[in-house]
Amino acid sequence: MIDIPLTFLIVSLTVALAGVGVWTFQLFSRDSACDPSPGKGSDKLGVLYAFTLGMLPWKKESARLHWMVYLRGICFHIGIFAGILALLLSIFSIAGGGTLSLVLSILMWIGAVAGVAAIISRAADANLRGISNPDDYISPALIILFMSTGALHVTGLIDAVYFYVAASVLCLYLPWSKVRHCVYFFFSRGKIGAMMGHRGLLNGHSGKLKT
Amino acid sequence: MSDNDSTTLTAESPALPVREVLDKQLTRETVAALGGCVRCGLCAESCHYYAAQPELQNMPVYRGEAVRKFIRKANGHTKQLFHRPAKAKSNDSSSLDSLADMAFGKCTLCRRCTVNCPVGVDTASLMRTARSIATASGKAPEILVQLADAAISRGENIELFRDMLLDRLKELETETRNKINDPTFSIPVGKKGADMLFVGLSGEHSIVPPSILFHYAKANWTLSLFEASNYGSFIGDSERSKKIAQRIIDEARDLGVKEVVIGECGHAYTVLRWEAPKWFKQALPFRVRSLIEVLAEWVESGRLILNPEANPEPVTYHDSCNLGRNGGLLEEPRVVLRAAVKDFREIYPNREESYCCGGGSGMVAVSEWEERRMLAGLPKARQIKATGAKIVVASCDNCRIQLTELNERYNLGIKVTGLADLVVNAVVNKR
Repeated sequence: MIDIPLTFLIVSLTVALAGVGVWTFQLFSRDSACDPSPGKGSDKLGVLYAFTLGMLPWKKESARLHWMVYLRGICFHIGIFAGILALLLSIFSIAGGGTLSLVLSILMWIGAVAGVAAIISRAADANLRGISNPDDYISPALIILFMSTGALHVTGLIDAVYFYVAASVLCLYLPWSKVRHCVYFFFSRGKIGAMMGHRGLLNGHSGKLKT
Repeated sequence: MSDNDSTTLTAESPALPVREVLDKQLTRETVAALGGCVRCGLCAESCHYYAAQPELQNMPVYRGEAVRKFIRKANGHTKQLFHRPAKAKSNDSSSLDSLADMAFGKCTLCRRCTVNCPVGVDTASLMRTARSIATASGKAPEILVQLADAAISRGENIELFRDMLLDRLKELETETRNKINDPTFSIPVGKKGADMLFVGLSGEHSIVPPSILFHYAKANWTLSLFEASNYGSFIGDSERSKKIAQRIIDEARDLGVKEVVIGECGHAYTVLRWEAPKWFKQALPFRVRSLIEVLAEWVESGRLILNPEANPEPVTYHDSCNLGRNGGLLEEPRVVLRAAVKDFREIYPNREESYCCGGGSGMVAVSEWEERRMLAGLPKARQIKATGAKIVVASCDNCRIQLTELNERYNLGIKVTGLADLVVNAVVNKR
């Protein structure tokens, strides 16, 4: 007998993955300006920096000024990854154990609370409201629903079907949402890091020159 | 309107050659900038316009969204996904006017928002795309287009200018000989076999101090017939930019120099050092350095010996966005200044976090935007005031003009000068 919620989820996941594929195709079908200029530093170290030290909150003025927003974003994204892990464990019927379930549940709840806080602060701030479009509310709302049902499911409070439906709706919406930044993030940050490395911005403040 | 009509420029129907521009400008980087923004608003305070006037329209994300909407209208969401040719039906003259005003008059392409964006969205590249669209549609500020065209014309007709320029340089040479009391001083032009081709700006202030320093350092150099500025890059016109850069490349090749040294100019350095190789898809056949790098090397190696007592007043340094954040020259000016002045003070924030002064990317050339420019420069004016410095060094001509005007407007009580001027004061090992 066909498991309808699971089938719906698999179809939705396929749609979401197809969306990611289109975004990736859209990105890589365009030319990228190669940089033949002789570098003053290392492009590779720049890329490494962009995804490691460059992510630290004190490295960016924007994060230093808005450390709560930064923390909220981190919590939200950790919650998402916990939700994805919980979904995979559930789909493949892998018993995670009580401790893992509890940890995943806590992370998803923290993520969901961070998401709610993000929606409230967006709605409350006039400037943020001004730059927002419906997707800025719909996307986090669907993700909150995904994390909440996931948290309830892993602790055995609700059946998997609710979690699957929430995940399916999110996946079906995903190709048209701002979640596309998950593809562009890696490219954009990598490029900026490479540029900073190439042009010697990360050569340090020792005063030793590399000309 | 047919597809072909969308590229026609007529008086009645403003030019909408959006398709061509987008085809050229929508690189992988721009597509990522178009799709990567999550509208978190964290970029707001990084913009000097917003810092001066915290309004919605001054948020980088707002400007980025405006460009996205324009392109979406031109492309259509589905067409954008599948790369069908763009049509520009829905973007009329007034929306192009708004786009041009925003791209040229409310963003200096300083990239401070880019380095502060958690995703790394390069809003500056979107604004450059908007500038390209506006320029191709005849909506760019006329003065910037004229300056770009004048530079190209000068390159194509250098024989008409050569004698006039050489005459003036002879006068300048004599004046400088008297000023530094050294009859051996000279300003060589067109010298084959020189090691270094120095490209200054249009103005004697950018030629005399470096010439004196080259003389003291016994450099084998020659002066370019052209100025380093590249207004083609300000208007986002790659063809004009290439033509302007090509003049210097040809001159350097003809003279057989080992390196081209760019005078104290932010965008000129970034353009020739970092951007031109991308345009021409190959490394240039000579090294490109800024005068600042050359001076730093000479100071470190002892080729120029400086006495900081010669500049006793408190001095601070303004990091030009193009030299610093976009060019990578963060420590070199500080190496020189620490050797050349007695009391060096930092502006906060500085280096790659430095705020734009508000004069970059052609803003100082557009007189009708003076008030906007003065307001956008207010954060920098406050930061300068807080240093207590009496002298502000700006190694970029646009910054110097802007800071001089900010000084007058906000009574900062400072003197704005170039790096080379202070070094000339401080040199001990004169000939």
